[in-house]
Parts: sequence; C-alpha cells; structure tokens
Amino acid sequence: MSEGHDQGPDRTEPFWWGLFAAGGGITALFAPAHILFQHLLGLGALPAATSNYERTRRLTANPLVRLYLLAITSLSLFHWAHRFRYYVMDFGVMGAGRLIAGLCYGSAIVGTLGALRTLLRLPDRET
Amino acid sequence: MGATMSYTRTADGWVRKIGTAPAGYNPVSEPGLPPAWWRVNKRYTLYMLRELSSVFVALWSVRLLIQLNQLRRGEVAYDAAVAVQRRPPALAFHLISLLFALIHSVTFLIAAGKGPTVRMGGRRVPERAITVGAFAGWAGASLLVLLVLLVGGRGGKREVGGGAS
Repeated sequence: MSEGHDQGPDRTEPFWWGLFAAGGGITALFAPAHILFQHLLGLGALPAATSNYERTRRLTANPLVRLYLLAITSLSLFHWAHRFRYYVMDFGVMGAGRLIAGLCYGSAIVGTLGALRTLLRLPDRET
Repeated sequence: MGATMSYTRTADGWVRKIGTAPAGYNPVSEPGLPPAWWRVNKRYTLYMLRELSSVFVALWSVRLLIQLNQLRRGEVAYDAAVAVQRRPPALAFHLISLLFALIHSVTFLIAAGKGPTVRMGGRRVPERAITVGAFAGWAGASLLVLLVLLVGGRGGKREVGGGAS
C-alpha cells in the first residue's frame, strides 16, 4: 500500500494519529455499553434516563456528562477520519491522498464544532 | 504472496497458507491491489471489518448528536427523536452498530497491549497484563454507563450525584 505515499511524508500524521488513538480508546471503552443501554435496552427494557425528556435534561446539565458526550462524539469522528483516510486505499483508490485526508479530518472538525455548539446550548438544570 | 509463503512463522506460531491470488489477478501487469483481496483469507476480512467498524461508530455518534440537538429544541422534539429510535430501521441500525462497536472494542483493547513497551522496576510488563487491564477498564466503563443511565436525572434533590459518580 506504499503507492499512496507519493506526495512526500505527511508531517501532521502523528497529530492525527493521537486523535485516532484517543478516539479508539474512548469508543472501545464506552460505545458498546452506550449503544446497548441507551439505544437498544434503554428504549423499553431498562428505565434509562435518556428515554425521558426531563431526566435527560437533568442528566445532561452535569458538566461531566457534557464533557463525556463531547469527547465520545468528537473523538469517534477523528478515529473514523484517520481510519477512513487509509480505508479508501484498501479499495484501490491510491491517488488524491491529501484531498481525501482533508475531507476526512475536515468532516471531523465540522462535527466537533457542531457538538460544541449543541452541548453548550443544552438547557440548564432549572429552566 | 508467492508459493514460498505457504507457511509463515508468526508470534502465534506457524500460520498456514497466506492465500492464493484471486483468479485473473496478475501482479506484474496490475501492480495495485487485486479486486476483492480482503476475501482471500479470514485475517484480511477481519481487518476490513475492523476498519469498517469506525464508520458505524461514527454514524452512531452523529445520530447521538442529532438526538442531543433535539433535546436542545425541547420536549416535543426530543420525544419525537426517541419515538423514531423505537422503530425497526433505527433498532436495526443500532444493533449493527453495536456489533461493529464490539468488534472495535475487542480488537482495539487487544492491540492496546501490543503497542507500548511498558517497564516497571526495569522489567517489561507482559502484554497480557496490559490487555487484562484494558478489558477490566472496559467492564468498569460499561458498568458506569449502565449506572448513570439508570440513576441519572431521577428526582430533583441531588441531581449532580447521578451523572458524575
């Protein structure tokens, strides 16, 4: 797969790899339980806070919960971006490496800004 | 991928047969990857599924953000978002996402033990110890998510306690 590296070394690679590793770690630890307990069992089998507006509002008023939500949404996007950047090469797309990388990381940055915007504007504890 | 690689020595022992090139593939005239190369053996297939897991986890993450945005817009919007999640297409999506998230967790936490060389008191910490720690962390994190979702947001007297601990 060395054919993809025909545009000189990418000096920003370690930075993106760091975000990739952080995203891989947090999603490895939290994503399966989060999907299972909020989006599958939490919709009926379990009395999960997230199926009730009032409880979700109170829960997400907690700064630690917001920080967690920012971390898992943002970092999972950077994790995807770094994997997908090389995944397209696995399908035989060897050119336009920089463009593809820019689109992948750019999407993750846009997603992070969207997450920040949403999380900062969530309702407070008593509104 | 020549015939000389029928047996390969790896850390796990002898691995038989890397795989034969797909029919019609000529590495000389087509120096790129052969079509559907990931179907040649199970390791390649698992690798491609592992990489694909990030797509589903990211899609789930975007859906979670949309749900949070509905929360910001108020009770009616949020209840509608939860109602959509109870429908079969959303349940199917979350079930598939869960399966990919599990593939990601298992492969990533095993890989965590293989990456760094950790030394304590001059001796190398065995790979297994790091992997066991990573899986214990996974269990702990999963339990935390369960507890926060069960206890979080209840009542009004001590709201902070439910989410933080």
